[in-house]
Amino acid sequence: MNSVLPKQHILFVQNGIQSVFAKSVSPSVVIPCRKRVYYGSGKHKGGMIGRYGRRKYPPNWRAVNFNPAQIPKAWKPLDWDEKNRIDYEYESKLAQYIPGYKPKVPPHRREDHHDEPMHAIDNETCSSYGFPQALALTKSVVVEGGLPAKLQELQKSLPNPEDKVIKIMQNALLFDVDPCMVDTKNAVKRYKFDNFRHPTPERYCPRILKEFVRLCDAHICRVSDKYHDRFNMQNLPCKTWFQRAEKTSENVDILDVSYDWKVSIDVKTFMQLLSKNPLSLFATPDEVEETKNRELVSIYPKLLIHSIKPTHNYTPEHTTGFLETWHKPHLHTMVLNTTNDHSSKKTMGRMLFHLFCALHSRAVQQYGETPQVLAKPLAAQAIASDGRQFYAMTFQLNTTDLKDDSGVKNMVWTSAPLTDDLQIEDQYTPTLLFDECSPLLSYYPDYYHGYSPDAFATFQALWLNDVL
Amino acid sequence: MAGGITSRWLRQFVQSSLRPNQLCALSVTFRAQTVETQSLCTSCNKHGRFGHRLVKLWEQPEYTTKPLPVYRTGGRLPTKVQHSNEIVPGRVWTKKLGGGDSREWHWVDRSRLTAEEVNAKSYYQEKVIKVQHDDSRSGMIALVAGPKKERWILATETMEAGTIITNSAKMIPDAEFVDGDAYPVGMIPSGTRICSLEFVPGKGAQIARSAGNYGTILRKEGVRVIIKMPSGREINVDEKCVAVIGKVAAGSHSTKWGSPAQKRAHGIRPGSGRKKMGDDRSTKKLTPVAPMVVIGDKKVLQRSDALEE
Repeated sequence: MNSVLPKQHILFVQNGIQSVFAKSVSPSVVIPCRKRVYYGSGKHKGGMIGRYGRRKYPPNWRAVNFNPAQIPKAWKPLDWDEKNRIDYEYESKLAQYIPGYKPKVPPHRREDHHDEPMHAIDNETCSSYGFPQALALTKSVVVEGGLPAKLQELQKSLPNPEDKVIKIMQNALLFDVDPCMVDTKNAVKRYKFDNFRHPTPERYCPRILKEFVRLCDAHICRVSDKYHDRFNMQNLPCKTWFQRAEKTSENVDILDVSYDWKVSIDVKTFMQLLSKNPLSLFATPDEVEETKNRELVSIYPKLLIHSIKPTHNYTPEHTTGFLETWHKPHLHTMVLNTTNDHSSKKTMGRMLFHLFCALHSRAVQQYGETPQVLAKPLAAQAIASDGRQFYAMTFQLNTTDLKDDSGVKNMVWTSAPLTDDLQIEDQYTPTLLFDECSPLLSYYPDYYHGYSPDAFATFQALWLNDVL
Repeated sequence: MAGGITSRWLRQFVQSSLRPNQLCALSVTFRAQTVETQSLCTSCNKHGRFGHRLVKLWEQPEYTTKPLPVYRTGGRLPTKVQHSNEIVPGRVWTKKLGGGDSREWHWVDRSRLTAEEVNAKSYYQEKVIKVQHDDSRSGMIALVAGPKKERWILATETMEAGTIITNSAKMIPDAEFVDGDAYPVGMIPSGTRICSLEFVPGKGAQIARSAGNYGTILRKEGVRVIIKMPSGREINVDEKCVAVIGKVAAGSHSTKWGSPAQKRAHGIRPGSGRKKMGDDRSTKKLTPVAPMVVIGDKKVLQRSDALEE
């Protein structure tokens, strides 16, 4: 477009004088403008005179993007297919002449290609499946009564410094530095109706979680010497894969479906607390054998791999995020940042996948890849928060044999009071740290209301389990 | 435009400057209609007009349930910029289009059962998650979870969140033909009311898709089935064409515009008023119902011969 027009752009000219609004007009638009008569006599008073009529569109409308209605371009450009097409022959030639160049190969010729597909769960898609589907995939069962009795006692017995927790909340939400006040180049995005920028959950959620961790660790240092038996790591990757099967229901005939799948989980946790000694179990061996009589959740008519995308390019492996010689390999608790999850049912599904992935990879390291009932089960805890909503969950891995729905099952405890019907969404209630906290709440004395000490009490009970 | 311009001129103008697959999903008459591309069409252009709303479907590699933004044309034609591969809105071609509330476009699956599933005699059930209105049609749509994926479909009257609907090409004893189920037309008993019917097996639903519309199965003649369309006309289709039992859900749809403000919110600008003058040119003429149309051997367009008889 710019190559057609001359380099000397023509601006609006009114009465021989440049118009005041020439800067707002793009110089590439050329519209012949005529004189406007403000003081005159006769029919031309207040109107237009000149050779050309009142043009609605320029004569060179094919060459110029004349769009006064500001209609966006929603037709497919002609270059789209050529730009997005990968020329594999050209890339193979580049690899001959450029040292170290890795050419793009079609997916069926890559080294990772397998005939059998693998259904992959990622960090982004982890929260799109829901809690019932996660239970059915991991062959786990919800134990009624909330969290285990040991943790409920710790919630009541441990001290709860409310003053410090409220200060943490206020520091993260009220006294946070406004980047707009410091910004001089207008690089920060401003919203229309905000006089100043509120701190977002992406900013205050990790601050609150790290300050809670610091409070709990300070309590350990005062009371015991076991602070150095634990280590807190961030952004640890974790990978596993397993085989899962499902029985067909009557009369169901679906095209191109097999009822034996490979599923892989590849996630990265916000924080993992690793310890020297394993966590004590939450269920007795008798309770573990009672799970044989319980039935799994049914998500009919969905299959277990509902909306999980299959891929033929994968590398099946089991990783815990660290080497086998690490001296603190056992998982104690895991903290998740769920600012982008908009429903509580999905955050709990995410927590379950993270827990199962971490414990399954450790079980494979310890007992091997053959699916079996574990002689010594593995246990772990998880906390997920938005900065305001807190969820707690404990998980015990009893089996890695997931081919059948029968046999021993894995066990889950949650802080939310769940019933047998897990499809009801109102029962997934989180514990709130506060109802509202912002600088606009001037009618409250400290700019917050609805504070509850239960959120920090559950966090502290899970963090200090097996230490005191 | 001057007199003598017809849809044929516009078709040639567009085809000379653009390839058919380059156009948006909502322009039906100027695309090469295949079984694959037909599922992307959502609205129709009548009488050679161009200038409806657009959706950037080429950016989506596969089916999605996420609502996509809708772009307005204001009745403008697509024009190719000189010495570049851009396509930009040019000058006005249709009047009475402009403005309107912003819309979201939901990708509605036209085929409840594909041709491969019908030939393989498949059977599966789906669960309704929610039913809601759609900005781009008068009927209501339903989000439905099947065995492998979720999808949007046209909703019938009795559909609610939590109901289970069946899609089967397999004859099952004690099968109940309930509202919302999808079967090939050969399996449905005569006299039932159906909607979202296919003309060609595997092509997608084409008739009885707007709010409150339905067709009725009159009789069967071997491999062919005769159906009465909502206009009153009869049609003869193959028994493998899939249809849904029931009426299309209307919700709060009404045939009358309540006020001119509702028209402007829909994107229709005021007109000239020529149609309401009361001349012989602008009156609606009553014509007799045309005879039955057979799809498969003959062409569908039999206008002049049918009316003379």
